[in-house]
Amino acid sequence: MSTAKASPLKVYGVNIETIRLLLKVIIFISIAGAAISSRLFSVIRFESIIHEFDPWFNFRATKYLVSHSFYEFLNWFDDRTWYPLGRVTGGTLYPGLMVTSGAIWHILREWFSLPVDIRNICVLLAPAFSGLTAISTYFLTKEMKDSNAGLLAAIFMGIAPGYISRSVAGSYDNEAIAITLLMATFYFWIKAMKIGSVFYGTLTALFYFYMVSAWGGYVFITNLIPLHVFVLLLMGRYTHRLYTAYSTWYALGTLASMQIPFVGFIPLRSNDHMAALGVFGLLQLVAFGDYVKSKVPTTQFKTFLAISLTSVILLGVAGLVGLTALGWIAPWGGRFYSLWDTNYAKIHIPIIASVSEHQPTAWPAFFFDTGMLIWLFPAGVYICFQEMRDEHVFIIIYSVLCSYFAGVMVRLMLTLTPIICVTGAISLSNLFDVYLNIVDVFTTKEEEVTEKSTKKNAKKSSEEKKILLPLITKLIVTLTFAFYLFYFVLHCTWVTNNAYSSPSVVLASRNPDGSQNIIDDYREAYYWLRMNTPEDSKVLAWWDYGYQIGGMADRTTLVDNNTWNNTHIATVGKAMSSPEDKAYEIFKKHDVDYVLVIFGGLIGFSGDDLNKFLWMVRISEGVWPDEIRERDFFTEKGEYKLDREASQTMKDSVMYKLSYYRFAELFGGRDAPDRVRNQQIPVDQAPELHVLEEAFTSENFMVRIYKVKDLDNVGRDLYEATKFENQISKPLKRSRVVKRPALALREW
Amino acid sequence: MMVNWNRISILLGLLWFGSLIQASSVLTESIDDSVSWKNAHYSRTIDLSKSYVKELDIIDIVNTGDKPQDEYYFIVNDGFDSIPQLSLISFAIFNSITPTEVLHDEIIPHKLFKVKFPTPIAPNSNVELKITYVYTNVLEPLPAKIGMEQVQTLLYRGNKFPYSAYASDDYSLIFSGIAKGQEMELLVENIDELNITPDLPELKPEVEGKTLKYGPLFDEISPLTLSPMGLLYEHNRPLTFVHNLNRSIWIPASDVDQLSIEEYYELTNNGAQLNTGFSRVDWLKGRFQGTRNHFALSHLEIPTSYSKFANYYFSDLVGVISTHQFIKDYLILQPRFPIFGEWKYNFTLGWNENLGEFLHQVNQVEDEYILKVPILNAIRDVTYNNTYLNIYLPENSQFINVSSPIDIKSITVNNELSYLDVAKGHTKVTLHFQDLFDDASRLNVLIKFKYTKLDYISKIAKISGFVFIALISYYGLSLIDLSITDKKKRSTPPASAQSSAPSSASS
Repeated sequence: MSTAKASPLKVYGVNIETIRLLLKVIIFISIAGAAISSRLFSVIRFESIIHEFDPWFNFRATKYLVSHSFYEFLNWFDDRTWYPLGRVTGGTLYPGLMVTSGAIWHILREWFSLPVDIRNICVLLAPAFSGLTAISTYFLTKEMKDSNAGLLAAIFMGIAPGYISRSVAGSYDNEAIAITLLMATFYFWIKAMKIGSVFYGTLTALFYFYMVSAWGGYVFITNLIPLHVFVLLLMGRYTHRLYTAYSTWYALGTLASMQIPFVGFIPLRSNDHMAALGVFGLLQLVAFGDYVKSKVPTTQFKTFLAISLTSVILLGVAGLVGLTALGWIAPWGGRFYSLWDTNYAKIHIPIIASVSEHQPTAWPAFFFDTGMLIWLFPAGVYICFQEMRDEHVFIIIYSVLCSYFAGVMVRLMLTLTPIICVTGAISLSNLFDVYLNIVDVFTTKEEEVTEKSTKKNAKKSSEEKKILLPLITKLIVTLTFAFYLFYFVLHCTWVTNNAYSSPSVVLASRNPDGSQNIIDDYREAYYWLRMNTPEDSKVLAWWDYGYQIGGMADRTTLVDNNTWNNTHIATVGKAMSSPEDKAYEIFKKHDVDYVLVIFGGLIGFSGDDLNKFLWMVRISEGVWPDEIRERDFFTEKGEYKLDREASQTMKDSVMYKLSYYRFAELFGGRDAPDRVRNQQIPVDQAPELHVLEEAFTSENFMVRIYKVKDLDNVGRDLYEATKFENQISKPLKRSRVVKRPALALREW
Repeated sequence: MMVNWNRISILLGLLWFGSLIQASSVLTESIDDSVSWKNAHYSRTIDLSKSYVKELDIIDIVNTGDKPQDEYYFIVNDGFDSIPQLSLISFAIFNSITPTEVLHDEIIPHKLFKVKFPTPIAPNSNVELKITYVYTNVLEPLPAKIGMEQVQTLLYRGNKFPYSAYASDDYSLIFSGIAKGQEMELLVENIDELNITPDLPELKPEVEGKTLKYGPLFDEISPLTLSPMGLLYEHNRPLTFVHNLNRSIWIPASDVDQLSIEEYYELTNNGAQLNTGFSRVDWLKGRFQGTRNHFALSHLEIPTSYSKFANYYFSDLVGVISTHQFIKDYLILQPRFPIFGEWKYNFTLGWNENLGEFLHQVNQVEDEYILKVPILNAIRDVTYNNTYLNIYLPENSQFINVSSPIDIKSITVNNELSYLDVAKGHTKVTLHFQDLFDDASRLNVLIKFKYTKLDYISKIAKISGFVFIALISYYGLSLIDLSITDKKKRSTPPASAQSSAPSSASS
């Protein structure tokens, strides 16, 4: 640095800083390129398609936004979901994602005359933002150590599978942009806290606002920053800079976040946000105390401190408890409780527990999602402990909290990944600082050589060893880590390719000759619904498929993945687990026209409705414990059986009947093997339908759609009517053939 | 006679049916009585192998007048509105071997035509007239709802005798392209109001090869003979019907040798409906997916002799459809699900062609080009209701003229903004056709337009200008100092940021 001040180093007459800048830009472009391209596997292998479940809702909302005005979007009442309740969609979503892609769409269309399909923008939004994430991670890490560590963190962030899992092309979900915003907010927070700048505090608040508009996980920031401040206060590190940064962020950020319709007054009323408010208050008191301290003698200040502290704590706790008891402040949300007690959801809220991404994480997942970074992570945290500047405290808190959260819920692996990348980069860069620095080896050599030249040549070999040994150690360590890095890239690519690049709407299998076979049953059936049913048909299906039916089939659903009404979901569960006549009542009361079930028994698709059936039973049992009992669906031995030994309740249930209706006929008189559950479905006890009739079944039987029969027009019971029709259907048909209207047969 | 019928219709007060009767009276009134012909031979061949009806009438006409005549009135063989619209009609005369197309006037649309021969025909000499016409939307499945394993039967309605303005000496009627058929007597609703000719000679069919032949009948048949008949025949193929086809042809501005074509179809099957819900078990058991002989539309066949379909794509509103392949000389597209009667489906098919085969510069005229494209893609056995042929000319080009062998319902010229358009957008010429069928893929439209080099260069200049302005303004913006802290502080090393940290770290 000192040399740079005196006369800037030059290579071929170019300032070395310019070269450094150029190199940095090239590195950034390469990192963004790697980040984006590794997320395109699914587009290349399949197509530009929206993945999974939630993205279909976001996609549908985005389409609504670009075809309507912004205010119409915010006031959107969606009567095509949650029939007959409807959903105040505009007020119950985080609009950040849709607004982002809508804005991009408008800019491309109106400014650049590029009429890109909104679907393609939605598909490619997540990869594009991953490039920005890498850059904001660079800046954050740079604040922790230096730009070398920053570059490492950026490339780690770009390709770490833990983040890729939620940001491949097509996974158009809130997390896609939220992680970028998370990193940006944290960077600006560190910056603001370091230099006590109102400007950076405002930027933090701005990005916090964007984050609030985009993802419910903003609560993480709302709690992490106050915690950071609180810990710093406890460590006695109060500064005016901290005061400025926090007050700016809190005041502006909270006001801004309240502009989101879905958030509204939650920041003032929910317990999730009380920590931020509390720390804000505390900071004012500390600032006041700091002022008092500078004016009064120490002994007096101590008594002042003791009295005020106890009274403030007592007042605060009492106020919190009192306001919660009075109902002014909402108690913690269910999802939050399940963070502390993993069994909480299972007992109290089966809907939350039934979501696979809310399950606790299995330990191999950590290795799977972060590769070698998982063991560099503690080292990085240790290095932070050693330096222990204010910003390192932040890293430590973040690491500790997120390690716990990621262990509790698979989904929160996502928030852990950035900090793993940052700390991993810090430790690796520390290592490289030492081991890649060959300059001092050679400088010492030069000095020794000058000393040695006066001495004899006999000692030369031992001197050489002295130089050689550190070189070799350095070489070994460097090469080892180069290998690790190389392997890390391989691992990330492999994981992305194999685990995270399936759209799940389209499945792929291999033909015997090795060519790819696309199983496209979902879209086949959804498209059939879209094309060949009346536009106002109501489709009853388990909530998992609600968003997809809304997005692809464009039909009204009863329940969807926005699980806001437990009773309604339980009603659907009850219809599925009841016998036909009881289900028919529910169907008729809810104007259901079609019932859709997913059945994987023919091709061995394990994510089908029969495997989710017990959750349906449990959820409806939670609401109607007298009518639905989970125990009845098991055999006497307590097994989940669907074959000959299946319990009568199971065999009578609508779900069982709809899944296996005429299934056994495919196997020519033998019992039909269910390839998911490895059970034999008896051919002689084939289910009969009375209140429903088959309307469509997809190519591999994965989606089966049934039409709910109308009430019989002669007033018969539908059971009798079906029986009657089955008995005389053939003679009836023949007579109909004979009676041709407006035509008479003539001999010729 | 005519007056009589009119009176009855008025008496009954059936005004809507009266219009038909009026039409037939208009028919006779429009025919010039001064021309007199006789049909020496009248032979009709009705091809029922496709989802539309193609009728070929060969009439040997003799001039019975006393002076040379060059006009002949031809009435479409109908008489009771069984043919609502003609999709195509052409007239030719046979002199020696090669047929020559002759001009005609449409006097009553879809009903009455006046043929004008190139040279007048002398009294008592004859000429052979060949008329081909195609009509769609007349076949209907009967029964309308059948089971998946049953065979679809279609009902053809038509006049059993020639409906000519002149008397005929010798008449025969042939139905081809049917495997099994059965004549039905049509019970037409308002049979009393129809001008059905009484006491007609018996006309019995016989099977000859794959055809059903009536006649020849050597009795003289009076003009405007009407005897409605129905033919119920097996036709176990879908009646593919495209409601709307948007066929877009994009001409590139630069000299890349690519012409991209994109077609959007909204189609249905006019064949029989299923009498139950769709059962996949039955579909699999019957192995109906692979066969061409089933009334459900499970695949579309496009011959590759017309086009190579380079880089083609096949998709619908929810994404790519993976079931498509080249088999022999056909591109086979399978919709997501088999389409039974009344079921609907839509899809997009796009591909590239070599521009050189379609676009040529007008001879000796600078900057003028002619594009020659087929009206339709050659999907087999399809009828079309609305066809919109959209031709996207490069931005700023001028549409000059269009020429089409068949009637264009409307021509619209407007602009559409597309990729990197900097002014008004591509010039879009929309040609609307109606009532087409698959053979129209052999017909071409010619489009003449003007596109100058200057237009091309100015577009490029505009785009590069925008990029340049953007870069310059970025540079200009970076010169503006927006920093809040003052210069002095910034020049000192960033001690402020780290001042607190080292003390705590060292402790």
